[in-house]
Amino acid sequence: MLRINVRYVYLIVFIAVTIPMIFQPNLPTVTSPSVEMLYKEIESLPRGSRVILSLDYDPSTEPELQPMAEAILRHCFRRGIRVFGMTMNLQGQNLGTKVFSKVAKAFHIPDDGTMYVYAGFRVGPVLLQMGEDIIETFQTDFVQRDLRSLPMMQGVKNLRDFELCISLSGTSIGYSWINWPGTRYGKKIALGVTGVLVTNYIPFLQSGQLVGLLPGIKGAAEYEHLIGYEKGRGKQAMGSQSAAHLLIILLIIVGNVIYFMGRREERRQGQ
Amino acid sequence: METTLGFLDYLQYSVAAFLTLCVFSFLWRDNVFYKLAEAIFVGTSVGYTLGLYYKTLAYPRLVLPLFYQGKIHYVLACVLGVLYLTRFSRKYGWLSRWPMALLIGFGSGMTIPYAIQAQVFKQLSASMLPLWSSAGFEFNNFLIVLGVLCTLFYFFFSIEHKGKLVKIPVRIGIIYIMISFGATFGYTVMARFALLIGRINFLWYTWLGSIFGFHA
Repeated sequence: MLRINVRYVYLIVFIAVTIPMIFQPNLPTVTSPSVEMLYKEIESLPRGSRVILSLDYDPSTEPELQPMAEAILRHCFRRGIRVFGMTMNLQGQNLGTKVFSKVAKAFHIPDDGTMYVYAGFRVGPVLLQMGEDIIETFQTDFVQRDLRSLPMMQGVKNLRDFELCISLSGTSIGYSWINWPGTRYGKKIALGVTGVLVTNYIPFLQSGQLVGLLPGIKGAAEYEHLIGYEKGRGKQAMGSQSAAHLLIILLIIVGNVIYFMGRREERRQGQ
Repeated sequence: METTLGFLDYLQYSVAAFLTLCVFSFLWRDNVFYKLAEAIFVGTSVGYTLGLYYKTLAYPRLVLPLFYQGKIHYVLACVLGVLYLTRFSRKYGWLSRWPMALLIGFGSGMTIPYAIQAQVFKQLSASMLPLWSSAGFEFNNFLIVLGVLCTLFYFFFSIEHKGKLVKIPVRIGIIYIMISFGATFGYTVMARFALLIGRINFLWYTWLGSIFGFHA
């Protein structure tokens, strides 16, 4: 009874994911407190403030984290907040340029280092060095322009000149942000993480070490909802995500019913 | 915002779509297309990473200062780096312990104090919560304190988990751990589906949408 060809399950999952993607049902979005916290934190920053957005992910986690990056950038640019972009993930540094130029283009912001700078990846104990001297740590941006020459970086010395640090990652790099910029330099830290890691970081919210946490693609969708960006990839994914979750719940129930029925049958035959 | 796509964009999307379908074909069974995609992935990712490491790390941090800016003291770092390669020799393999010792010593010194402060002390103080306040009994705080104590009790192996006094907190600890596993599993399902949705989104809107002119 339990021997079902697994390919049927794959097919059903494929259909469950694809149909909502095509028809795009308009599902209501309920925002969670950890996402609202980050939204309010950015809302509370005065115009012209500087934040660090570290895109610490690579292509393997891009579908979950790039929508967050896009939504946060949109929020910052809309509020007139300047963003210093960087990455702690060597393989993901090209993804950063893509998201920065896409959002800047949407807001008609020129790439002249006034509203944003994308510095890419640097090797070494970068987070500690940033606490001492950011210009010396990075020296140039991703396209090799001297950081000293960029308007946004005028008067910037180290982490103290930034109001908030946000790291988006699918690894344990979030702990490093909490340990050094958070604990040593006393900066406000917010994280956006892949679904797998959410439960690891929730205790840091409760302890006040994080000022916001975006949990996976759902977090991206909620943030898009909060900033009123209804065409975001996070919101688009929610129909498929909900259908897939319903299907998984159904499969777990069916699997258990079949299992217990099989066990009862075996017991009856044994008697 | 509409953007005009060129032939190279279509080609790029089509190659990516073909490789995605090759990987998905493994769901049917192992086949030559899957193996092809796997080999291309391994080859390109190793090549890409090596190139990136040279461009981002080796060139600006070693080659440029040492050979073009005359910073001779970088030789020391270069020698330490080269010592790693002695691991391949049985006779001189012990030399690789020097750079490793340096790295481990530096890494531990840099990490341990702040990790203990951020992940142990601050977490401990965050779980020492008042159970009574001016508003009355703090049920949420009670749940947190109970969870911390009972889960710690479960991991206390110096006494056998027998007798009601021990068994009850251990049982409660197990329930907390199971809830945590359940939450992690739920989030993991969400994460895996997000990746699948990302790929199907690419196939449907980015690839087919760019060819047939429809979008989300």
